[in-house]
Amino acid sequence: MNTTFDALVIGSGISGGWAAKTLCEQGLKTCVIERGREVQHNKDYPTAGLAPWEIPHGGWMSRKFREENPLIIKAAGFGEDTAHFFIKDADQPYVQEKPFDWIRGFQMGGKSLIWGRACQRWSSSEFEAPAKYGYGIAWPVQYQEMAPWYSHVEDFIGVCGNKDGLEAMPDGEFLPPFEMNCVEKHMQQSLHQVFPDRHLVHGRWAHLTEPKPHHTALGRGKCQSRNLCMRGCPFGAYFSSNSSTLPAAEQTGLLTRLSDALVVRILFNPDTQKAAGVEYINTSTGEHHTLTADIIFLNASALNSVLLLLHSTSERFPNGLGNDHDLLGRYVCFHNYRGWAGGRFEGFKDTYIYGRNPSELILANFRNVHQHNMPFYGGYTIFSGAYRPRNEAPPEDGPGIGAEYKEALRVPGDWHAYMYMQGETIPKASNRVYLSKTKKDTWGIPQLVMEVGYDENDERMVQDFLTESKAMLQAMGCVDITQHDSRQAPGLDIHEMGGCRMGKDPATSMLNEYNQLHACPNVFVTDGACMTSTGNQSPSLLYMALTARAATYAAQQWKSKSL
Amino acid sequence: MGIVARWSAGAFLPLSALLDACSTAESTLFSREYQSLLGEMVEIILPKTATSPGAKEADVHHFVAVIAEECYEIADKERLVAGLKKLLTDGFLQRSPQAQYEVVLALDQEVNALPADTPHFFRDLKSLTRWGYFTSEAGVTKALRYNPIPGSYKGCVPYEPGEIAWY
Repeated sequence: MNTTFDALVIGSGISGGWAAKTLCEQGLKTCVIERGREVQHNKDYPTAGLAPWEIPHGGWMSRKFREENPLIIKAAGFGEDTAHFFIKDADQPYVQEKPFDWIRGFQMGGKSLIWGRACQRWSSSEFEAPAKYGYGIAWPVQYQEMAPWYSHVEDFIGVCGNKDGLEAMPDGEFLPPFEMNCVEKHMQQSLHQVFPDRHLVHGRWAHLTEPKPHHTALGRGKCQSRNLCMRGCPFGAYFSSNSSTLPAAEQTGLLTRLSDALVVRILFNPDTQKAAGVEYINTSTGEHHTLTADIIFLNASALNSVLLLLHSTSERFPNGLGNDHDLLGRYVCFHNYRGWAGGRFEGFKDTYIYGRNPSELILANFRNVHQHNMPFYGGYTIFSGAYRPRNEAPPEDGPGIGAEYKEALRVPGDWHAYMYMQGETIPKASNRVYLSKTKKDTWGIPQLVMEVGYDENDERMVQDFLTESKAMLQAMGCVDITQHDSRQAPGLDIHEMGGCRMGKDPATSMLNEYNQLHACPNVFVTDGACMTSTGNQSPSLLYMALTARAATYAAQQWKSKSL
Repeated sequence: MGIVARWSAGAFLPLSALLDACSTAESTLFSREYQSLLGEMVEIILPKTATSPGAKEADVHHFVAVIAEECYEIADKERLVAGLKKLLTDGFLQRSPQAQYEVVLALDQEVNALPADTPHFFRDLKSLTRWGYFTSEAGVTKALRYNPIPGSYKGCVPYEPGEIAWY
């Protein structure tokens, strides 16, 4: 195998796939290095077509599996039909100085196979608020710079949604949205009557509701509304690296896919004062190998990218590559997913649905938008929807067993509504990850220690969500409203971010406006590790846009021999 | 052995899971006695009607054993086995169909009188029966409407009372 490339991409997930595609399309011979096994689109989706009765335990994991893997079974979407796209707990042990549920998927495509697919554009408020209100540093890019890159990504991946004209959730390049059901339309209208400044709208989702020619050219097709996305989609109808960016990169003839290859350090060349390449372990043989390149993109998933940088020490960088000010591993944040609310509708019995909706509505953030007037900083998105499950009650006065009971279970029951929050968290130096001095994993790499926790701001935000969600469900006419604070550990949101943040000043940030390490400019970090703040909206679209922008810049610099 | 339908996805199952299934053939809930009892009970809970198959035809008694033996916490499994064992020793299988129905009805009424968080083997059995039936091939394809590939999502479809639910 060739060991010299123009560019290396460490990781093949949401952002790694985009780095590979962009660099290849710009003419760079690129190797994408994935620690997990190969997963070819469609060929390697063993559960994609299974009927409900073909799942041996109905989706539940065996007792033995649960005993051995208490962490990973908590992940949203994890089940018997998707377990093969998540790690086992023992695959990468780590230390919880404070409780932290670290959810990982190690395979070609990474978590792009199992992600939630929400693709909202950040508002300008989210980019500006942390510095403006003093709870973070300034982003070195703003919405205006990112807008054309958002468009570029939306167009390629295919994002469906409606243009709503909302400040808190800017419009983009959208395919037609999934329909709202009749009850959701009622929820939207009744909410707006009582709370005129609150908007329950179609979300923005990486699903092909109406494929364009460039989608079908890649072999991708229309979403069939099966809602089995995390098994991998035989239609390529939602965006994953496997169905989209990696095939696009391969079409250039410049991509090498290397799997079962765990990068253990980025090699620094003191003569050039740049990174020279990587050292990786072939996880099948245990042998160490080296690859060299002019440019390195680090997309190993936020905390794994941070771990790799911390482990990449040298005489110049004794505390980790690019880490001159003890910033690496600090300012780790996440999304606050603790609040949930639900209710029941007594009417709407004459309306139903067809098909299985893979999308949700979004109640756009209405807190602290271009202002700070709450007892907490930041905002929260609410995911919401209405659904009509099957009836569970026996016929009135009838027994809970027998023929009439069975017939009663075969029809739809009442409509229900739900809401759950996705809350911004404050970046803090004290929320940090670092290498254990004593514990190592099976490959001899130090384990990562998590010291990340909630704060008073998070508690106040949860309280506000609980208060407001109840009021809003009531305004919509719900009865039997229930709520809870899951008190789940940080990390279970699977939106852990930061640790290698972007910023203008090398004294307070690790990366510049093009995601280059300030101190080592041929290394680019464009996965969640780069995030300067969390915003309240989902991050993956921004990871992709930052990656496309940084990789385009990197390629230009490379072609002009500046890198 | 009655496990063909559930194990047809053998291609992706780890070998250990298949071996576990074979080795549990002698375990309590897979034994002929308990399978006979479970067969009668699930059929009483969700019987065959003119328009849809019963839980026994849908192999739900086997599903109950699979879940209880392989997935349940031990204490929950033991509570289920203890409850079923008492029915066996009280001669359930020798009773007339009407008498069997009365026994199951009495258990359902016993559960209804309890707070929702009080463990009871029959509450678990009924829950497993519903789950197993409405994910079985017979249940999904004949007692519900099912389209493995809907093709689209329609949000506002008129509904007439009595129309069967989609899976």
